[in-house]
Amino acid sequence: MSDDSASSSHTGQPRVVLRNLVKRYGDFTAVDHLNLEAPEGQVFGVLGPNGAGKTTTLRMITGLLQPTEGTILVDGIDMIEDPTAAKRQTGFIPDRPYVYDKLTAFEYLRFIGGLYHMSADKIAERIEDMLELFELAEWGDSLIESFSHGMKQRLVFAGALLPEPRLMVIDEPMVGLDPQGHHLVKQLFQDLAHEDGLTVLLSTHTLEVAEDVCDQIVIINHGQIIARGTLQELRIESGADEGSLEEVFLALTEESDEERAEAVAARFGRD
Amino acid sequence: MLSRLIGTKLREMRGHLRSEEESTLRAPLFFVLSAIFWAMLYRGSLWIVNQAVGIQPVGDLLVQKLLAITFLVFLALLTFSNIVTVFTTFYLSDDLQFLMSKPIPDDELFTSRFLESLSESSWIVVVFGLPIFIAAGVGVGAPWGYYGMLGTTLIPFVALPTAIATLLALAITNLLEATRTRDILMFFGLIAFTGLFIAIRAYRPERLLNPESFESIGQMLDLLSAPTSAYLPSEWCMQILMPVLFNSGPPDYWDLGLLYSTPLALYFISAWCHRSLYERGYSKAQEGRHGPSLLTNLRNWIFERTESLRGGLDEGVASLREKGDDAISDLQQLVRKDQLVFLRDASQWSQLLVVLAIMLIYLVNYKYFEIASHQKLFGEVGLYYFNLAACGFVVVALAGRFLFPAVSLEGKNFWMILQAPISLEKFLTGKWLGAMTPVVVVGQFLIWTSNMLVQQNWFHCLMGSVITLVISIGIAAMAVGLGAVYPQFHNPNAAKIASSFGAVIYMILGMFVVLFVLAATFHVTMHYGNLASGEDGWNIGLVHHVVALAGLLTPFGVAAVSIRLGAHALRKRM
Ligand SMILES: Nc1ncnc2c1ncn2[C@@H]1O[C@H](COP(=O)(O)OP(=O)(O)OP(=O)(O)O)[C@@H](O)[C@H]1O
Ligand SMILES: [Mg+2]
Repeated sequence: MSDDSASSSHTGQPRVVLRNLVKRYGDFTAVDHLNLEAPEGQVFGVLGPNGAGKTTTLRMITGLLQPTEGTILVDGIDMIEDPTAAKRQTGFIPDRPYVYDKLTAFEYLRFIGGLYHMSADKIAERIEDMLELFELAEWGDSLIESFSHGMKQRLVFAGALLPEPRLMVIDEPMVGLDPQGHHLVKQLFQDLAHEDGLTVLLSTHTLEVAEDVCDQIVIINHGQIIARGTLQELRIESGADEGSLEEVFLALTEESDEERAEAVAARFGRD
Repeated sequence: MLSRLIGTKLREMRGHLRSEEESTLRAPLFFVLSAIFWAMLYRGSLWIVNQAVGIQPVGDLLVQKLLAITFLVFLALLTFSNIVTVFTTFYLSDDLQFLMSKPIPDDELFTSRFLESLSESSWIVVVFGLPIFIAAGVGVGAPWGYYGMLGTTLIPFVALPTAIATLLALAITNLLEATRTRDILMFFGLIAFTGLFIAIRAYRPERLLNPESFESIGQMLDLLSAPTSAYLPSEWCMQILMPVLFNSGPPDYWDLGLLYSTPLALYFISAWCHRSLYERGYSKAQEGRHGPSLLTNLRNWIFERTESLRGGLDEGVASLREKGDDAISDLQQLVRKDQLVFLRDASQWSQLLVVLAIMLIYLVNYKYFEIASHQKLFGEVGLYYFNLAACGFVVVALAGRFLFPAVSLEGKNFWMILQAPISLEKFLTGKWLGAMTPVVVVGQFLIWTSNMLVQQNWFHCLMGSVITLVISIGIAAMAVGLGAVYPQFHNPNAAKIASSFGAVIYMILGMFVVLFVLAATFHVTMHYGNLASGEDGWNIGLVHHVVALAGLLTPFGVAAVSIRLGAHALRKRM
């Protein structure tokens, strides 16, 4: 894996590369020397208990947070050196769908198109496609204020996909979606990755989703990767050969009382 | 329990300081700037008091009248700000939901909230009032007892509006339909504003600066010695303080008694009423908080009516198609987004009314200052510069109210900007460009109308306009940039952001910029101004021209630096 991989997309090199990624909040290390490579055309799942550092990692990859140390390459572009170029390849969906609710859905999507420097007719085309895909067409002219949580979530999806990113980063995609939404989104992830060649990087607590759609999974805890691989590989690693992902997950993230005490002490100081 | 409630509040404030205070410079900067501001206010007041004392034989009465006006203004300010803070602390604050679900005795919740409102709204008097009152003492040469009595008087004077506001808020939340409480706030704001305006206009302060406008000394004495109204607490303060100030007898102890007993009595009445009525009012206010307000209903109505104008989804898409494959400008989209969000936020509308009111009051009063300017005290040069400075301050205040909170108001939506492929500099520039126009328009409107009103010569009109223009441009960027240096992403209340720590820093720095530009251009403006009205020019040289040019360019430098600083500060917090 070399540094000069500007055109990685055509050479089959990983779309996202994290090297020794560290994020500290004061004395507390939320992400601790993380190394990761997510190849193109795959759905990549990040699992881990609450406070493991998933959101922090994903936010660094999308340029919302600045890493304390380490390198992030998106499509070979360094996120710290050229954030604008790196961000142009990326679409992000945060864990809570906050959007400008004084805009209409159409205005919101046009705004995003403008931020990504898209051409006007391309924006028009994508807006129609996206509103169609996420079943929002009849709401296109309503203020987002009047949307339900799930509708906002779908609109954020539409916005993130509008500029045709090569990398989609999604923090907890399933929160607030109804069963149809669940189904739609799972199908969507697989289509995006396997048909359009995107890399979909998602964090989730819904293990069933991870089981159904993820080609590869990493499990992180206390800011470090404790296991990675396909579901089958994780099964073998955890010793829960035939188990569901839930059993695998619990086996891997299990910690003794002392370990927990240690972690709490590291988090909040020992005094 | 009470001490615990207050202690929690204090710890919360400390937590705020800790989490937002990355720069260690913050506290010292604040103290230095406020000390300078305080000193300037003190010097200015002292100057006015000295001038007034010098006008014989009515000097003492004049000082007295000016102080009466000051007390009245502060009474109005305190009443207004207390109504707002009491509503917030007692009925709308987020931690209430938690506190109300806990078994905390009514009286203690009341007392802790009361003290909170009291301290939150009374800093106005400490910052803006004390220098004036102390200057009066120094100017007149008052005995030491005056300063002691001043403290004794101000405490109940500040507490009284809080007590009244708690009762008023209790009555409003209980009596009115839940969804109307928010409109009521706006209503009271306007009432307070109008009241203040009428009260001050009734005094006609500019007349006091111009003794010749009275037909006889007797008439003037009559006016000056007439008390405002024995029922107003500001008048009680006067009765207590004036004898001490002029060393002319004992203070009016009856009024002192009134001044202490009234807030105390109101406090107990209010506490007693809260026992039975607070919960009902609180729950009604909660309903009102989420229901649509009058203005939101109006907004929705307009939004629906203008549908055909805006064009629906299909038209929007079609108009995009027409543009073909030109890239859409990101800056333009940023500006457009801000404008749409602002226009459709009905809660901002009442603020626009206030802006209109300020402009109107400014111009109405300006006419009176013209009369005063024919006096030595002011002079024509003084009038021209007073007007320029006042316009500059209006611009600073306006930008402070509307542009300073702009970055903070992105709030939870800020992730969209951060993840988009645009630099933070561009984002801030977009905010600046979008918001600059209204500030420039208001500034130009004020400066042209006011200078036309008093028929300044063409050069003074033009120069005033240019100076105000560069100031507006620079100040707008400064408000946006410093708003990014001191953002409050978790605070949805623009008015509160506009009175936060960072906003005060911005205001003070902004006023410095205004004064600097005025000072730098002074000689050149006067020289050509005099030439334009056919008088002798001033004796100026190249250096004055250079300084003036530098002065006019400074706001652009300030703008560039502010935007950089803001972007840098935002990046540092990521
Ligand atoms: N701004 C911050 N300041 C201090 N600590 C933070 C901050 N943001 C996150 N943390 C800490 O970093 C750690 C990782 O947080 P993160 O949000 O990444 O966890 P997560 O894996 O997404 O958890 P969850 O499953 O609950 O969403 C947590 O211990 C959290 O307390
Ligand atoms: Mg998370």
